[in-house]
Amino acid sequence: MNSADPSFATEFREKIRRLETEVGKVIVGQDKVLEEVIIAIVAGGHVLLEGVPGLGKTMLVRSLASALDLSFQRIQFTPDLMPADLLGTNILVEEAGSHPRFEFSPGPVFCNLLLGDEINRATPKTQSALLEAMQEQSVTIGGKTRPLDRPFFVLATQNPLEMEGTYPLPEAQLDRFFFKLRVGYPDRKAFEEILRRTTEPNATTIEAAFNGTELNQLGDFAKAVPVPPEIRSRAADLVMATHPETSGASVAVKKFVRYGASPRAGQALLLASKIRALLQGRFHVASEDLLAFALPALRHRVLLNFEAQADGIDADVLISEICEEKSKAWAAI
Amino acid sequence: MISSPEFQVALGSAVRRQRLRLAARAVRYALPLAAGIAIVGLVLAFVDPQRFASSSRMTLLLLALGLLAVCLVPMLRRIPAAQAAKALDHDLQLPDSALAWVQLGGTGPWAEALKSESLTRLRSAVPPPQREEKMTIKLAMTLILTLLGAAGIWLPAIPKAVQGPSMPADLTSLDQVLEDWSAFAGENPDRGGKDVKKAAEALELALQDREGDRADLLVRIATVEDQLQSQLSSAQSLEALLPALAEALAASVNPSQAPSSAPSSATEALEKMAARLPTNFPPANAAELEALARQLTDAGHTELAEALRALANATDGRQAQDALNKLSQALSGAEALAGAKRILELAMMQLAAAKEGTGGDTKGALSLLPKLSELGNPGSGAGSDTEFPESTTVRDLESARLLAPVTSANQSTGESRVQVLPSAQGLQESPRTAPSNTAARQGWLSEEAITSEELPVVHRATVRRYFESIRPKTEMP
Repeated sequence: MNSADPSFATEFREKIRRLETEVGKVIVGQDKVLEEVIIAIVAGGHVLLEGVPGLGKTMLVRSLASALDLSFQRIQFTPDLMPADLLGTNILVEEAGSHPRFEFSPGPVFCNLLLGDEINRATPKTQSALLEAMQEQSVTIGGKTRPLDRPFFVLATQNPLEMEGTYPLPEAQLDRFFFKLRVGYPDRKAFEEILRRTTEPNATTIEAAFNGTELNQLGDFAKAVPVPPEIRSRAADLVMATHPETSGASVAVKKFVRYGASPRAGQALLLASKIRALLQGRFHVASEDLLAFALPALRHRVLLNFEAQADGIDADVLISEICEEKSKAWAAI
Repeated sequence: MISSPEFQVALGSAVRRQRLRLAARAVRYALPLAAGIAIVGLVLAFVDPQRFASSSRMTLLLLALGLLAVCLVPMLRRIPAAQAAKALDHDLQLPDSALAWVQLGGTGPWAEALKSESLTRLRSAVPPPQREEKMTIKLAMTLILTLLGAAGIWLPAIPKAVQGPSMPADLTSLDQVLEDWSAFAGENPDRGGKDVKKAAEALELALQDREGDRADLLVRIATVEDQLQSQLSSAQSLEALLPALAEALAASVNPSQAPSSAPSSATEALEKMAARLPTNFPPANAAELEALARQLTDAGHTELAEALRALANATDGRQAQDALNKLSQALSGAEALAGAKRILELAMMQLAAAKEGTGGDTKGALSLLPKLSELGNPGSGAGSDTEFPESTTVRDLESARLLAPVTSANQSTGESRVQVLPSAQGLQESPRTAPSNTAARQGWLSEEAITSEELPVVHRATVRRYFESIRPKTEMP
């Protein structure tokens, strides 16, 4: 099947729905988060999951790895975690009959799906070790660059409550996350279902929806979805609205935002919008797609100033205001 | 790019709807502005109708043309394809399908898929309801204010209610009166013309400021009326006093002589007196002459009173001759004024009718009155027909008036005088009927009340009309 053929859209939707169904066997009450994680993965992006403990973040990632038939690794980030523990290192190997030699021992990063649990507990040095892996999908150790397996995704989690002894992620690393998703509490019905599934004998098994190769194919197909110039302009408009130095910025943005979103935000917006368009049965991106992903694509890329932190202003509030304003402006005819 | 006829039709409909929408939006913004301007125009028209009435109407006309242009411009405006597609998406609540078609609709598999998907959405979309613009309270209030403002400026009735007789047509009646008075004064310099000329000059002065306020005009006309009324009062008092003066002068020549041939006027009596200058100084009826002089002084005829007093107190022939000369001069003027009483009365009536005519509806009242300039010689023309006809019987009666000095018993109280009016022989009925006497008295009383009381000049006409309205119109049998 040619991935540039629009008729592949039906198969695309079916595969994504099948993936959602498989993961949904285990994950309850997080449909929106699940959909956004899948979209990010299809787009080839990394996801930062933020939420209190016990909401199934790790289970979500593990289930995804099972449903995608991908190699999965989990790292519990701690302050004493070293980069070598993450990337791997050269070790001296002594074998009988031969001279001792250095052999590269790959770290957990060499996988398809890496779960970095509580990533903000590691030191900046260790956090930065992921930079090259996330952006270039390769690691350089001992002067030698080693490519990672394709596809490669990092799904990191962080706890917003316990900030003692944590190291907030630097902006450069935050920017490399395709989405930052906030995992909230499930509703009552979903909560009851969680209780039922986790306290009774459960023989649920997750079957693979598709493999890594097919995932890459889905990503390539989604990139072929055309974007009208007007919609592309609106995406740029949305990202530029977070920049306090632009003339079109709102008063709140000028007051509370220190740095606006980077171009990666626009890329994430459009890529995610293309996938959503396909899932909605469209062959073009619409404004509603942009607005749907404004929060996960922008919230970690907008750097607030001290005044905003002192006033308790959250980036989500500002972005929601921008979306509301832009929605009205785009709807005006 | 737009290959589907179905899509073209939908896009055409969207263009039409968009034009209507733009026109409605333009009107929604322009209407409050028009309402504001109309209300300002209305207020200005009320505050200063002279200056702003016509300009406000012009403003209103321009506003109407502006509103029309505001509505028409969007209807004729070219709507770009992208904007029409956005309107179509908005109306059919499509997820930017039309916009994507217009901007991406080329050839290739994705474009075909896009068109197919858009057509499917277009066919399944619910057509926009033919909803009319909801008449919101704000819009309704704006519309009402605009209409009220426009009506206030345009309708002549409202400005007229506050507008004075500034238009030349409103002063036509007064102009006619002025013309009549001027013509009469020019043709009759002696017979009341002098008095009418004064009034005409005052009226001309009053009418000079035609663009002024109505209240100011009424005050100026009331001043003319007061001047005329003063002249008329003088004429009336002279008319009453001159016969008595004639009798007193006749009696001063020979008091014992019976008035077998009473003089017809004071001038005639004076001429007879001058011809037979009395030798006894002072005259025998000096007290009577002195009393008459006091009455004349009280009536405001000081010149005549002084001359009469000088005659009464003359101690020799030269003083008597000087007094007679002065009396002759004063008497000529006084008789002329008394003779102009009817003229002045008519002028007063003309002015009152013309003033009423400034309202625009009562010009007929002036047309019912005769013109001064059309009056001929007294006794032969239309003006000779006086309101209170004098008959020879009345003259006989007046000539028969006797003044008898009566001394009271109490000397300290001074002497009193009783005027005895004997009735004419054979005639026991008054030539004037009782109703006419009553009406005349009531009119005199009302005029006296109006002049004596401290009434604003502009309200005197109203009080006068009130008195006239309560005066019984039907004559007694």
